[in-house]
Amino acid sequence: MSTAEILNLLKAAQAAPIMDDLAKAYVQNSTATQGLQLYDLEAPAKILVPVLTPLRNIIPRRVTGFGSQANWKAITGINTANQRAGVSEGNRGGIITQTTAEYLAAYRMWGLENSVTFEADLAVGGFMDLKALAVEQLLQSLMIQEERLDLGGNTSLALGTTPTPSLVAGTAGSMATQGAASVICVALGPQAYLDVAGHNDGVTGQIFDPTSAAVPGQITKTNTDASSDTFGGGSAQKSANATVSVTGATGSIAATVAAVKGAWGYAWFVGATAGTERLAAITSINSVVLTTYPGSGQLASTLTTVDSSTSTLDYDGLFTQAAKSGSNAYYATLATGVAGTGTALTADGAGGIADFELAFATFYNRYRLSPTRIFVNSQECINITKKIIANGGAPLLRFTLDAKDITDGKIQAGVVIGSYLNKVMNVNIPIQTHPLLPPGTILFYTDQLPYPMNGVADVIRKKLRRDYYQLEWPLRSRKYEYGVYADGVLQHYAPFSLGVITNITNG
Amino acid sequence: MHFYHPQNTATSLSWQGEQFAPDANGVFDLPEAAGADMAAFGIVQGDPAPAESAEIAVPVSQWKNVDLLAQAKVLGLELPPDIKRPDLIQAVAAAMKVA
Repeated sequence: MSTAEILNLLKAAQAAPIMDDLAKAYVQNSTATQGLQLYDLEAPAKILVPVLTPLRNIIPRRVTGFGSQANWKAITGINTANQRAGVSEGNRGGIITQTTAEYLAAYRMWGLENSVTFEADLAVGGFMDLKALAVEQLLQSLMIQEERLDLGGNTSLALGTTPTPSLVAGTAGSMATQGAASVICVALGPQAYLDVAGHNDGVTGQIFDPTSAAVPGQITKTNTDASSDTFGGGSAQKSANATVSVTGATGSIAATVAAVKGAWGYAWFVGATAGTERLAAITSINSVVLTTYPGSGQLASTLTTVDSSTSTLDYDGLFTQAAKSGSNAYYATLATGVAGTGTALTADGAGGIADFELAFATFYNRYRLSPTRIFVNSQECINITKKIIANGGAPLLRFTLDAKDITDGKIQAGVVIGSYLNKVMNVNIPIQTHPLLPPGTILFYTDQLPYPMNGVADVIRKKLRRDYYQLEWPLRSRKYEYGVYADGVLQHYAPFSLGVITNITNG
Repeated sequence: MHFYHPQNTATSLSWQGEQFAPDANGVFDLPEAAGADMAAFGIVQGDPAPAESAEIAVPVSQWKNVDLLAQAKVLGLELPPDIKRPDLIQAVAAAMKVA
């Protein structure tokens, strides 16, 4: 074979396709979990949940409880008859009279459970400590639930039956003509409001969705040991239905209901006819304008006709203690105003909020004290700032900037009212956004009483029979079971030092 | 008690579970106690001002069959008792222009 022939054969061989058994090459698989490649998994898992418990964090915890309830007595008045002090010659003075009061608060147990199966524990390998995580998140979940109890637990304030709403048919929507469109309202206590609106504590991204939200009536909870508890979910008994004749096709219904003391909001059910009312809206004021008939969502007919506002498993939270009759707390419900619009806080034209000034004057005039914290929703945080800075049309702020302070043509905007001076008692009160407070409700909190030798080290405290403890249950199946519990009650020695302004609209 | 919505936008209402419909003039006949609740809807106690009749809005040339004295009363005109028809037409027309 000549050299030329060999060269030609080589060229032909190189030009021909390579046989399959010689063509294998390693390529990156398009699927991350297949092919010869390492799986770049960052360990451990990120935990993207807020755990916000500002009240739980500041309320002192005292593990001094025993018995079935905490009991205490208080002296609520000395020289109540205003005995005059003048004394005539050689005679003794008059006798003063005192008043006392007796209080009690029954202990409650609160706890949650979690488990890890043997298989889950084996599967996790060295990725993370699953059993430790299970207990850690159990504790965090319990703290969040405890915060809900501290703020809005309700064992004794029955909201009763929601008043029948007043309705007026209008033309601001897209409702079709109906002879008797029907509306039902349900007043929502704190726990029910949070369930319907979403509390975004321990979870994120929750918003009210009328197609999936459900007003809780009586809740039956199945426990780990297969026992069950039935308790009120926090909602009042639904109202009787009210009807109006809607003229379409731009029909609408404006609705108001008498404000319910102890409610955080109102759920509105509407239907084209009686019996078809579905959840359409929740409001944190006592009115709404309904513009459509919901095609889906919770039917009001699924709510039983009982008052579900209280729970035998709760203790009374701060809001409930303020709303209870006899607490003597400051409780202001802003006026209904225009249906669907409501009433906003009012600037006093002197760098303050008129509604706050009234509250502070009342606190002083009646009890000679000042709140030490103001808890608000984000809505009120913004609106308080806006109203104070705008000052009823005479703005308090003027930005004067030196040119050298302007970088790249940018200036920083935005101010916030971080605290509020109680003019009456010259006390600077921090304003703090609370994650669970609903829009339209403000809570005044007092952790110090200006009374001498009052014997109250903590105005508010968690009196506990036992603080947080973890149970690792004996094995009864192929999973590790854990429980985290606490036992006690929220004890408030001076509920008259609490204050609430509610039914505030956004504006 | 008579209640009405100044913008005449209320076509039906419900108070304390009872449904009420307006009459031809948009007037609701409600218990006096409803007044406080109705304020939230812009519904006020009283009767609406008389509306202009359909006839008074038509051109003057078409008024010959209209009761001009009634129209003058609607417009609040004070007229001499012996006024002649042409003068009456002029007075009503002038009042209409001003209105």
